[in-house]
Amino acid sequence: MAVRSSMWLEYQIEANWTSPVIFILYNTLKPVGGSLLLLAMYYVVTGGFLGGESLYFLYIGNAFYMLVAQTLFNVGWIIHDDREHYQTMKYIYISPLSYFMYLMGRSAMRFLLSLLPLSVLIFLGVFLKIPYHIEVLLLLGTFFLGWIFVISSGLLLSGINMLTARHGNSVGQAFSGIFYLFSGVVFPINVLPGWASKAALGMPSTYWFSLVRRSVLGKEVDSIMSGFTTGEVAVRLIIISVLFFVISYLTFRLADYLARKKGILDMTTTY
Amino acid sequence: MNVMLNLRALKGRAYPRMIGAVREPSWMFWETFLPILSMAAYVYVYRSLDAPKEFEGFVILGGVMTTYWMNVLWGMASQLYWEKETANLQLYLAAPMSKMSILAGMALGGMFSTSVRCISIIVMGVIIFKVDFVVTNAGLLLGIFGVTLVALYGMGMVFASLFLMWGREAWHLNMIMEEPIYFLSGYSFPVKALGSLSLFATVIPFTLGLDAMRQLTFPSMATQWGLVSPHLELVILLVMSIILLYLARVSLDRMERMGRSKGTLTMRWQ
Amino acid sequence: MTQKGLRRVLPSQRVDAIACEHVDRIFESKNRTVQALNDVTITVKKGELFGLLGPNGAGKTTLIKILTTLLLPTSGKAHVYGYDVTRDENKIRPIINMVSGGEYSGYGLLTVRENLWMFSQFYGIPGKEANQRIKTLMERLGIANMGDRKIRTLSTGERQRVSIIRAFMTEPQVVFLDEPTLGLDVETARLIRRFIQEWLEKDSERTVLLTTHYMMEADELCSRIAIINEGKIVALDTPSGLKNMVKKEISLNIEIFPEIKVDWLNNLDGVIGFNSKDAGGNLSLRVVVEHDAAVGEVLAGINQHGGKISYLNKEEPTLEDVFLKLTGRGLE
Repeated sequence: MAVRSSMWLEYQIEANWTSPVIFILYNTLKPVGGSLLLLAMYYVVTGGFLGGESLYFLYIGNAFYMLVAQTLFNVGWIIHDDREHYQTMKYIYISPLSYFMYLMGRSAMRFLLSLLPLSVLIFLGVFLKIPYHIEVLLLLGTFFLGWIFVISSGLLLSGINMLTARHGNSVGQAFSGIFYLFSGVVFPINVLPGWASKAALGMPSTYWFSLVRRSVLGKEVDSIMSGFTTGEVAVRLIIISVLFFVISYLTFRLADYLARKKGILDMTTTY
Repeated sequence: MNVMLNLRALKGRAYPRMIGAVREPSWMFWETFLPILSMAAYVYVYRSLDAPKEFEGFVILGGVMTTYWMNVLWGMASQLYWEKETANLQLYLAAPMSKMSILAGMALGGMFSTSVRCISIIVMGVIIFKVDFVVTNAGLLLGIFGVTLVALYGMGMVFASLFLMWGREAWHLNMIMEEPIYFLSGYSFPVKALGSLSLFATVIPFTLGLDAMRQLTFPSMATQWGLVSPHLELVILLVMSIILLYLARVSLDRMERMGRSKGTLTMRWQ
Repeated sequence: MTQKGLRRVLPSQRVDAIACEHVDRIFESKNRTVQALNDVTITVKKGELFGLLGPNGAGKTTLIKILTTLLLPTSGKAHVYGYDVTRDENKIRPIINMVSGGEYSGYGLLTVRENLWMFSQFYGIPGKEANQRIKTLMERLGIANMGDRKIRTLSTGERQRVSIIRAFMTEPQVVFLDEPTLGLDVETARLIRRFIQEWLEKDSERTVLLTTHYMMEADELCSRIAIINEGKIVALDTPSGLKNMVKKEISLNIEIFPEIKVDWLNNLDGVIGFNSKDAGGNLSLRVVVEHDAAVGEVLAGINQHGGKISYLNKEEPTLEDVFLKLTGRGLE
């Protein structure tokens, strides 16, 4: 019930401000813009050639990264918006609806809404002659595990937001940058310095993006990640995701406790 | 126009931004450290593609200029909407100073954190990625940088007036404009690659500014990837600055009047 | 009159502080049209503390927004110190200020003193002078020791005192106070009322327009009061003049048990207005009637509807009775 009503609220906040056409445009312009940026980079380096493994790697990685980026982008605002903009956080907090479940619901809806721009990017990939080799079951499982990983990140971010001030930029967007750099999203992780490649293997997102490539392109071209079988990647992703979820949940609970202790659940910090 | 009044108003609005940055140092993490990570990813994309070293420098310079663009969008243009939501806007509007001085105060106040981020990006570029900037004409480079900022902030003020009229739409528009504008302005690649589209892209002031600055810091790439000569870009930017500042003034007045007529200036949670 | 740091042009001494002529304001949206102000005509002389009394949604805030240059009238003319609110906003803004009850402005990360200083800069007050004014007013309003506290840590009453300082430190000629004591405790409300009165007494040119739905506040402070209901000014006079309107009428306070329905009063001859509220299972009823005969009919009606009277009192007329008479309903 709590999840359902918070999902409904997220949909209202995200979608009720405009017409469906504008909403779809709004949801797709940003991801398409991000993909065009990468395509342009590829284009200038290859001297006008748009094809090859590297292109497919970065295009698919970037398309699926939108699920992470867009969800975290929005989740990054929830606490600050509720607390300082709509000033409803204290009311939601004292209602029988668990604030934790409320955040779960809102991030779940955002994740679902982000599937729309992802579909558009997948469709546009046809024009780039991306050799799709979709393994449906694996893809569905990947989506589910991705959702766990993304909401864990959202929870961690929300915990931090409970204790920090609202700044001008989107903290969610900045936060998702960690995954963009360290998870082999748009380049293979062996390009990173040695320590960073090792760190990447401790992140759930690295395995998730590897599963994405395996389920959409039917293969893994990252030289480090291709050393694992699909089963190994899935098992590692599940274990690390569970760990990540527990860490995020505990962090959120601690932040929740500290926010109440400090009396900052209804603070306004804008400057 | 009462110059002293507007200078004081500018100082008054810049103050919370500077003090806020000192009192809430978490912005260092959110607005400096993390965004640099995303930017570093673009450098690694070029590395993975064995691109010339200069392209990595292009990303670094793009990162520097987009920092200001972000300050314009998030710290200034959309800020009037936020001020409305927190009941400050009506006090700003009922006060005698020019609204441009308030916006300039926000921008200048945000300059501290923006500049910290820019310096961090340059330091990262030089130390971690070993980017070699070869400055050929420091005076021209600084001039272009300064005029680009004036034009950028002028454009931000025009946006601010639009955002004043709109409610949540403005907030969303701010979000969706980020990536398409990064693309059109050539944030991480030479804008000339866009062909005839690059002409259209020059409407955004930092497209020309960025292109000129890249030509002046990576001269080996200027012939192949430079759009037009940096001198001409400076002249165009100067003209743009004047037009944008004028437009900002007119549009702020017009939007304020329209808001007063429709009653949206003090209507919260639109 | 000039203020350091900001040139203020005041027109001839003879103009009224506020003048509204046939002001209408209509809000239109996709689904509905609301007439917030309907043919409002008022004049406020310099030196007056003018009250605008009305229930929530009567149009008080809309009128204040028009006079503070935040909103344009749909039709009609409104002037502040002789300046047209539609055309001369730049001349009006240096000489006015405003406080909205229940709305607190400023930035949570700044201290009280820093917030106030920031707002002083928007009026061009030199820093030193601004600090001196802030210090004096903080002492006067009893928050001298709170200058270094962050604004987000203040109580409702303390925040409202900060808002009052923010508005008065710019030495405005006309101050618009929109429900300035809303939600405040008795002591803070009294302090603010006394401050407003003293501020006015210091200079005969100063003017205050106060909106409130607290009858006592309007009665105590205002030299003249306009009663506004559904966007229309339904009466305008001094508090005693308004009360004279109902002098010949009779005001009854009645406690009835058990609680009964009193809709039938609407159809009773001689009843001008009534206001009822629950009083812990009993009904507290205030009725204004035209003549003695109606008193008997009211009491008989209560009896007929199964109510017993535990308390009955005939009172001197108050502004609430005026309001009941004019609008047929209670204010709160």
